[in-house]
Amino acid sequence: MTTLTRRLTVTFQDKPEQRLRIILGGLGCLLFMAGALSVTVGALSLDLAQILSGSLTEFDQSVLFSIRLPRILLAATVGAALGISGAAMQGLFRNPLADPALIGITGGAALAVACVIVLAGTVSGYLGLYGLGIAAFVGGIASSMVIMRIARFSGTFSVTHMLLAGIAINAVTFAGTGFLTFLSDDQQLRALSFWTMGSLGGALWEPVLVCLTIVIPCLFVLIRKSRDLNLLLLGEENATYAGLDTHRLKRAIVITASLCVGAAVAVSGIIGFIGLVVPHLIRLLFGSDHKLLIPASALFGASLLVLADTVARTVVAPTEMPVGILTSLVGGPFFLWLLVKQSRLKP
Amino acid sequence: MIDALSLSHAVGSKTILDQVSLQARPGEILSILGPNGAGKSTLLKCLAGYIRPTRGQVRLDGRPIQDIDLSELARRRAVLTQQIALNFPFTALEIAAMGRTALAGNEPPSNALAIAREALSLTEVSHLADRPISSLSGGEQQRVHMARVLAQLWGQESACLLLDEPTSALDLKHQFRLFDLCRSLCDKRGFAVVVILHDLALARRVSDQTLLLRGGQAFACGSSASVITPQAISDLYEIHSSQVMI
Repeated sequence: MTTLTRRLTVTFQDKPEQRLRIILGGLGCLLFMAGALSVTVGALSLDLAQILSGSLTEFDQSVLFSIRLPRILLAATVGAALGISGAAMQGLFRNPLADPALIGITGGAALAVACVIVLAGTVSGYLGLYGLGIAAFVGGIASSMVIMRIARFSGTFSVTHMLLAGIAINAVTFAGTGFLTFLSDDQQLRALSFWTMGSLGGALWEPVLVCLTIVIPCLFVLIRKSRDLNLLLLGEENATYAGLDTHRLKRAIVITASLCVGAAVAVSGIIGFIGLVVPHLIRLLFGSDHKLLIPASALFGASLLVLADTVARTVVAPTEMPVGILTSLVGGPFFLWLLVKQSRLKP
Repeated sequence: MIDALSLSHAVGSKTILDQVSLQARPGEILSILGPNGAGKSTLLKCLAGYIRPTRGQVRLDGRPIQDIDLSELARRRAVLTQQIALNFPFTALEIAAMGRTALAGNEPPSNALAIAREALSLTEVSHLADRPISSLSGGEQQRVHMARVLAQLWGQESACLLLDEPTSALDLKHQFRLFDLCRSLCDKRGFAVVVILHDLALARRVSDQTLLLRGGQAFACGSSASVITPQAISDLYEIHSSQVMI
């Protein structure tokens, strides 16, 4: 794999656009294959050839359109959202190990959702779902606003302050979520803990559409900012010298990443490690250029979550496993392995 | 051309710069020397427009530097800072091309790459173009960043180049090569170069003007040959004149 990517790099040295297109095309194929696999398996097996030729029975069609397709699309959208927000945050912090959960965006969103579940009573139906969604956006944005405000106390907008502020915010939001868990009754406790584990069960077309309308504009904003993100890696001082308005860029990144995380948390709870592992893998295979990293993280994150969700809903059939548990279970050790491997390579 | 008029800068109650004035003229190399903590880097950041001095004014080509927008400023002056830590595996060529990223106007990426390649060959690191920057030695990294800074000012006339200890990791040959390059930019393109140095003999040899800083104040200022004397140096660094080697 590494030899292949190296060859790709050498062959297209002076044609970076062409290399970009080939890699993104490949990842697009991967996403399509993941989707094709996921659409056929489940409690009811569907035949891919029949789906493509449109010769399904009415019952199979209703399974396809009202259960399986929305779920796959939701998994893809959430995966893409987590992948790009992770990539953007890592660029912002100039640290390949940063993550939206780290600066408290996920924590803020989770606290807001917990508030809705416990204080506003039982959550059901479309209205409840939208309520959760709005709460998660508000929580995510609110915590990033607080973090940005704290980060500016020292006069300059420093990344160190932002990280420290994120740690503090996380502590507070987790304490808040814990307290709400303590207050909740049995029914709410169940809803809370399932949501915290992260699941794509009960996917409908509405959350898919809401999520897509948020994630796609964010993706475009981040792709437009990708060259600036590269420059920011030199440090704020040097990026400013090279002509970049770092304050505006950082604000744009924080807002788009919060929107993506809020959208993902609202519809699927806390799904860990996608935002951390996906950009990391892309960087290892194809390099750090954000022009490639952002769209590639979207495609690869989407494929990975579609595959993970397929496993999560089939492996313990007839029930299903929260996909967040699966991604953490596989992602954690994998990430550790990456770290060890990377530190061994260094002299 | 940079004019600094009685710059003072204080952080809290601590005065870092006190009434420092200087002029970086086109075609000249100005070196800034002084003991550790004399305020050299702060002065350079003020000249670059990154820090706004609490008093005094910096003018670039006659205009107050804070009135010039960042991308125009980037075409008129470039800065090489001391250490640049990068946790991401970019190649030397990609780093050099970053000098072109935020400039106004839509430059095709191939153009930026072509400029980056030429800049790399000027600082003699073109053979390292495709190596990840983290695998290079300190001196090689410094030359790659120098190439990035040159790429930023590519094609400009009478721009300003600010260098903060650019020779700290360079061997003797590349120290001289760097200043040959600066000199030819001064002669052919009318650049004004401001450079922070620690090596007295080098400063005396390569720079036209010298500013000696002590405790945030200008200790001496003038042509390098007249300013860098054993007497001045022994006073500035508080060492015996027999220990001064120029």
